[in-house]
Amino acid sequence: MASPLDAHKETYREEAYELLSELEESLLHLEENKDDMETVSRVFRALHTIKGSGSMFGFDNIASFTHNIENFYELIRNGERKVTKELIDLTLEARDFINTMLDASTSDDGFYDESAGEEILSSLIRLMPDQMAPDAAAGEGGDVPKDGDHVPQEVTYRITFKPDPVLFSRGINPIYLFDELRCMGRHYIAAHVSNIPTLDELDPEACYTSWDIILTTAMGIDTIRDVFIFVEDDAEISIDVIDEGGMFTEDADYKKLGVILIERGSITKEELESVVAGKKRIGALLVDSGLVEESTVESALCEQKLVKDIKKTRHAQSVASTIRVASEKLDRLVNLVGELVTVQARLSQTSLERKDPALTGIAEVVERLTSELHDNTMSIRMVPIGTTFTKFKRLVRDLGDELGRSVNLIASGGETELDKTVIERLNDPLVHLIRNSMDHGIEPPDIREAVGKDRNGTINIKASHSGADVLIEISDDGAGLDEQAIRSKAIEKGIITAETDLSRHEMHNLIFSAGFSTASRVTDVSGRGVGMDVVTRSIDALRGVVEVDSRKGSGTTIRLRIPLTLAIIEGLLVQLGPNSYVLPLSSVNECVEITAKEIKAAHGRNLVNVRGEMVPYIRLRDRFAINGDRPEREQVVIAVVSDLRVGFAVDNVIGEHQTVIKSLSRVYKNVRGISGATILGNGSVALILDMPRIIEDAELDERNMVKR
Amino acid sequence: MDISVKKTKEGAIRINASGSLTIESAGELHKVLRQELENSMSVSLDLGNISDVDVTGLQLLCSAHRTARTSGKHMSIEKASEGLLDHVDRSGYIHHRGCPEEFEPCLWSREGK
Repeated sequence: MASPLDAHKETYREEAYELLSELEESLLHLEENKDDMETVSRVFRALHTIKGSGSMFGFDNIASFTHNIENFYELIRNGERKVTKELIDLTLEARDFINTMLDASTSDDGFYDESAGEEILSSLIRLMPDQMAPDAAAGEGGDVPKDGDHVPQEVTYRITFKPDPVLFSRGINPIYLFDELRCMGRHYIAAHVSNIPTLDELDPEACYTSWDIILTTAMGIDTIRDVFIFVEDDAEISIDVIDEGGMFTEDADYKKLGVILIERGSITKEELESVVAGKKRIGALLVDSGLVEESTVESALCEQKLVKDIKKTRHAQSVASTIRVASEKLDRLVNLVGELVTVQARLSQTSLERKDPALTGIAEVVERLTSELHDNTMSIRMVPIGTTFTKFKRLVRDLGDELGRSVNLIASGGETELDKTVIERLNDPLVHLIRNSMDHGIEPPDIREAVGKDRNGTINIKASHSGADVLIEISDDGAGLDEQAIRSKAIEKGIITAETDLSRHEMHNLIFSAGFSTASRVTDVSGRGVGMDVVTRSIDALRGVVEVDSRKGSGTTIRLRIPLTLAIIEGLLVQLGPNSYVLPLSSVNECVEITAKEIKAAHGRNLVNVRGEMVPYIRLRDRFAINGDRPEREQVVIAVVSDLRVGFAVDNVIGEHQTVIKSLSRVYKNVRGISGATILGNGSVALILDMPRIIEDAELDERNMVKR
Repeated sequence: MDISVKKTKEGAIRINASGSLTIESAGELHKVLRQELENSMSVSLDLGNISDVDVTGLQLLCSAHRTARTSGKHMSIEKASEGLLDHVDRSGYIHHRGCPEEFEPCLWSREGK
């Protein structure tokens, strides 16, 4: 079993990976806005947290490396240095190196190339020559929490600071101490001025003021003590914990005012009791009776308020907080919901057959609950695609350097949510598409200038919802597809013959054929013969569609249409002979009826008249070679696939069906036209139709028939 | 620190102090304030051109206010520089309420600022 420390280490790793991606995003933002101090602070904070928690959980190598990087950013934060492209380059390398160290910490041998880190640091030192040599260990950084000292949760302290009269003549200005405390967290500083005499008795150089400071911070008590290190001989200093995160959270209220004052030694218990005999508010009573100064009461009241506020915030945070769940647990939940949906369908069907009102009632409730449970479970798995987009910014930046091209990536719609698994599987095809745009699409700067374009190329990546699908568009303002080159290449590769007549659309789609690559040279980036067919295959696996649109000279747009989720879809259940099939409802437009008479009138052509528009249809009975006679009246399900209206003739339309997708076994994996299966309420299996494939095959058959 | 003292027609004193009001110069202003509060019923200060302040400066102003108050006189700050206000804030001198015996608003009350 894993030890508690292992669990903490795992949590640290998870958080560190998140921080690293945040760091990357901030760095890329900083590169574009070099004077944005807010972003500098974000970079600094990310580094600081990686370092701080790293040393706490025994990732000393990470802590010490990050500490050195942090030092450079401290200089920038203090305005002593400027952000440069070189610095960003090196910091990004440093970020990758931290990533490597994190990866290595889970590997068996824990090996990584330490010299890479040293190289980055020495490059950084070259960049900022008068920066001090890197510290040997992060622990010397001063504010790195030490074991035993570190207080991970925020703690509220009361600091009483009563300086001797000689404090000022020693050249000490306490304001600087307060400024230091101010940087540590939320604070309240109250000066007590009641000891200041009138002008006759006043020694202008003596100190008559004392202070109460309430500070809420994650820093340890030693760090606070360090602030007062130079004045401890000239002052009375006491630091007390008045609220430890989580310790008093059960308390409805923070301490009563009287308790605070007794704790601070402002009054004694007896004095308090004698005063509270009256009924006035205790603060007023105490001031009236002359036992305490108004400013003391005020400071105590502020302490009370501050702690109450902190408790309130902490409570709000804990209410709104998120929890981390392993994705396998979610996958399991989704599977279970899938099973439940199937069983619920059976229950509904059984209740219909039994015609038992009591059972029907229960079945209806179960149906409603299942559908809610399904929606909720799915929404848990939804993740915004934005994080993936950030990764691409880095990719474009690095590739641009490699290829000598300057390209701007403009990402929009990052908030669009998609199933986690879908996003993970989308990563590779998207990377491939972007690489392709960078390498084959966007021209080198000189050529761009010669044809009157901006030297910097632009790639737009846009995500948006479109019904039950998500549309992802990647467009570049590059050279566009060269139709002639595609044609000759396709002929050369034997994909088409010299006589094949293709529309522009079909020609463009050739680039997705297996083994197709028009790039005459092989670069690191693309053109290794692993063509765009990889993209098509990945998107197919996601039950998505790829389309390409291009104009020579002005750029290419590639559109991916991806279903929101892979687990459960809304389907239209249809019947063909004794079997049932499911059509994805998101593509279905309408259903029309066709009679034997109409079929005869069409002279053997599969066309149906829909309000004056002739729509071609595919008879699924023929495609799947189902025996038996066609019914007198057939139903044609009109769907829109790749902007094309196509009908699918079936025997009967049964209705909507919540379809839990089950993948087919390996034997059936290569059957075209079927993308999966589902289990119906009566326990039988229905196949899910892959409409784009069926249309493609039908087109191909048609063409072959014409040839003959 | 530069200090100039003016007397209005009504006999009130207006003190204009500029430069730094720190431990080095507090003694100087202390002398002037003590003298003027002895001789006049009302003293107002223009501190709009104060550049540096430290706690001694704030203590001095507090003491002058207290002196005026105990002898039934009036002392006020007409103008205060940003630096002075910032220091009042940073040193924790700013108060929600004043001292208990005060019958006129405390020099450091939040409302007064």
